[in-house]
Amino acid sequence: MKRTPVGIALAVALAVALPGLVLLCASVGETFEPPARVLRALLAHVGLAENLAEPDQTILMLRLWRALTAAGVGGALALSGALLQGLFRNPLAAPSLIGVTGGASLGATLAILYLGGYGVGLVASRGFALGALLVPLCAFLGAIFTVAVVGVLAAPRGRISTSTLLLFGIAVNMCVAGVFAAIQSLVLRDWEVSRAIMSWTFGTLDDRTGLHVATIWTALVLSMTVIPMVALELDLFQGGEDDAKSLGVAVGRTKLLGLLAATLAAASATAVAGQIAFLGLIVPHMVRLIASPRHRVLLPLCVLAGAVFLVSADLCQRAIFGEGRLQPGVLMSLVGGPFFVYLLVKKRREVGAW
Amino acid sequence: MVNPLAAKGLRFAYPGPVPALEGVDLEVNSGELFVVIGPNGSGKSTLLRCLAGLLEPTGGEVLLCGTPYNQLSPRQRALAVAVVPQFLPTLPDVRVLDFVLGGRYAHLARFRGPSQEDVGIAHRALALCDADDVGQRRVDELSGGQRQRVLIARALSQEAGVLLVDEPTNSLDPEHQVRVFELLSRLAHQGKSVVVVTHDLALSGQFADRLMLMSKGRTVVDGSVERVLTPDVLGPIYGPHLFFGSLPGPGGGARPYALPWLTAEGQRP
Repeated sequence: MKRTPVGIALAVALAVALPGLVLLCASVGETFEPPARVLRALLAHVGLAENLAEPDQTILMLRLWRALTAAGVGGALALSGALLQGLFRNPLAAPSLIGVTGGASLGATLAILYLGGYGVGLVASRGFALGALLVPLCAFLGAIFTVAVVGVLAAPRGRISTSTLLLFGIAVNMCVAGVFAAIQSLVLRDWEVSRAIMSWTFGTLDDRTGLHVATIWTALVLSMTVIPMVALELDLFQGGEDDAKSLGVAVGRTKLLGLLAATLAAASATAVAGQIAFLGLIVPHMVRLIASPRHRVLLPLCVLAGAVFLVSADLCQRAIFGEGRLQPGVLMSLVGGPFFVYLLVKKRREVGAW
Repeated sequence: MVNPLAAKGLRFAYPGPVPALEGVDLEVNSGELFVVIGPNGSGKSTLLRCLAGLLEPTGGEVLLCGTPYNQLSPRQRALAVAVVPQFLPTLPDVRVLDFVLGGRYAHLARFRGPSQEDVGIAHRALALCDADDVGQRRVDELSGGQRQRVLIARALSQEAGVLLVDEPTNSLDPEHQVRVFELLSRLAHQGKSVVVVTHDLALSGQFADRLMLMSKGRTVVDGSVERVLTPDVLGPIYGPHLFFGSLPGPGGGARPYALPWLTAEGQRP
């Protein structure tokens, strides 16, 4: 089959841009540090150079963790969105819309509640390994739970229409929001916990550590291993599940693998960075438009594009508004909301037809 | 010789009191255009979906060259049986050639995309269906007749011995209806087993090598067009409003037909 030259060009461009953007992202902050110094700090951290004078070493590493977390989270959310859109044959499917993000937040919040925080010092004080595993694990379980609920309720016979999917997404999100609000009001007096939970709703990249980076990148790599197993299959899903089955696709296996990968990616992203809405919706759309709707091209490109997208968004908002003013999750909602409206308008005829 | 496709005592029940299939036996031969007719709700579509492996029968079994379906993986089945659906719930947003290449899926090594050889097979399938001129168009731009040809081409690129075709002439103009049936007949006579479900009693009479009439989930008659397309056989099933006649067929000899006609009561050829 003919290769898509646009896809290859885009992949190369994104792969070259990503490391540069990560370094640049770590350069910007209270004080601007040249990217070379950031690189030096990273090399020092892995033992290939001498540490910079404190506090620069610590500050730059914190900024790098932040940038690397952003890259992993962006890639994971975009991959999750692309997988869900392929599985549901629905361009409006996204982790935040069908309740994956909400469920993951709820799970993670309960874990934070139990641990008493998920910041730099707090996790270490309650047992590092426990915190490292418990928060992502609870996020994953929460996400699986909501996906199962939406899946069972919205698709009693395996078919999901646009309106049903969105309605059940809204319903499940509302349920989750209710529990979420209850938890928030209960812990309002505990400042540390309440702040940690609050920052979830905004989606935060502040105070990230190597732990967060390791979590999200492990999950991302694990999720990416299913790409070769579902890419051709998802292309054939577009004509309906029966059609795919008659062409020889093991439909059940593809759905299971795809859903697990999408849930793992989105849940881990939510576990380390809170709720970042719409990225999983926007990035696959852009990649599909620019490169190809074929999943062998789309899925890997989404990982790269999502990483570049969130790092760039973080870089922009910090360069424009300064440190700590506007969280990336908030920025995503500001941009993503109108984009979602635009998609609905474009799809109006189809949505109305259901 | 073992039949490429056979069904034994096939039963199926949707949720509800009335079963859709109540023990259907069927043997499809190679090189034969086998047409299944019957009123709405007679179980033809359920039968086709069972033969396609899309529905799990609640009783009986479907045999592919003697092997029961439940011993085959979806991939193994797709290598032997290709389905031409009536329509797709959503049209994929791809070029026709890529769509037809979807038929090659069962042949592909896992993790590997289609090769040049697969592209060649897809091109030949399109040419066989007189659709090679639309290869670079997008699927959602095609007319109804072109779309039907492309669906058949995709099934052909599967290189399966059995073709299952669901209501291929719905929403086609007369010219395209005749050409689609002519194509299916040609494919059958080149050695494939072609099973077609249709409501069209004129096209069935013209092209079918064998006709099966279904009613209420059972086979009423299974035989030649001359045996099935008669007032005595069809009258009790379809009611009085059919006009029977015969015309010279594609092969020369006379072929029977039946037409829906309000004032046909009492007519005889």
